[in-house]
Amino acid sequence: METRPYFLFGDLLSSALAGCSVGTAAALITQPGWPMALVMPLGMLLGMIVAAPLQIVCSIFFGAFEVMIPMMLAGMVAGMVVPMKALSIPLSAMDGAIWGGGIGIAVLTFTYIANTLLAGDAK
Amino acid sequence: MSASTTREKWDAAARGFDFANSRGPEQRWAPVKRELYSAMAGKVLFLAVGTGLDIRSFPSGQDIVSIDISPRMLEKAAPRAAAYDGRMEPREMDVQDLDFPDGSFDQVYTACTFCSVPDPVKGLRELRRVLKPGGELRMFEHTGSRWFPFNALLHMMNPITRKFGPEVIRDTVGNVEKAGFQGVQVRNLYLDVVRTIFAVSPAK
Repeated sequence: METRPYFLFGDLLSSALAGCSVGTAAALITQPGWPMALVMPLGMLLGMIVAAPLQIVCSIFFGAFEVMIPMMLAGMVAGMVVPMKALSIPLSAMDGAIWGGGIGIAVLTFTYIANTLLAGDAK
Repeated sequence: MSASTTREKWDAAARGFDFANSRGPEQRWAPVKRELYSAMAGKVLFLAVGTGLDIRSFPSGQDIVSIDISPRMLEKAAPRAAAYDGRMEPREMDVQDLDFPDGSFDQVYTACTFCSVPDPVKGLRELRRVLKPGGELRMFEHTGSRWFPFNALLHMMNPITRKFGPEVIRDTVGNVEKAGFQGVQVRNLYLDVVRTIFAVSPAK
């Protein structure tokens, strides 16, 4: 379990950044009336595309898989959830960023819990 | 993928390798690597040395042969190897075709190597061959994950990552066993993706 403040901050910043960026893009792009079955996979794809270059930048400063996995996951989840939300109520870019940032932090928490369960002697 | 393709890929990666890896990834795992390398003893083979970022984590006074398939990486590693406080012999070599006699080494160390070896079981069999009977294999590697959603995510990333560098879905623990090593021990460091793997070359 990571305890160094620099890397904890880096993990938080990276995941929140991925979620915010994808959430903002998704809120700006999604239009009311779009078919839900199309919005979900396209949103996930958008999440991957937006998160990928951010991962490269953040990994330089904060780590490799420990940064890339939560960022990619945050991007994909934000890319699915924010457009779905935008189909039901109009979302501003700021709304998308807030939703996406929250999703990024939730995803990071999930990976920290998973890491606590999986880390240690495995064989 | 052939050895020459692997060489070209890592030659191309050598230019920006330190910029991409010397801060976040290296600093994050430096304490774990120092602990892993602190067990160095006897004649040691280290692969793949890359630009030599790991050398600063080596204990001083060791007798180490460090290999890499990429001449460009070795050029960058040369000053770090020269500055090492011990015996360090960098050599250009493919792990799948090692130019060492049987039983040459007491220990083999790897750091993020078997994500990139085209035929990992062949490479690991070579390591077993050059280790003395009872010799130790100590690895710091990333592997695929058994767990959803991490396994699905890594499978999605793999077609892209393998073009520029490593594969991210390798079953390196299974490959170590397939290569005939015994006493395999695994410690997960991040999820079940970043791990240390310890194994012993069987007595003949």
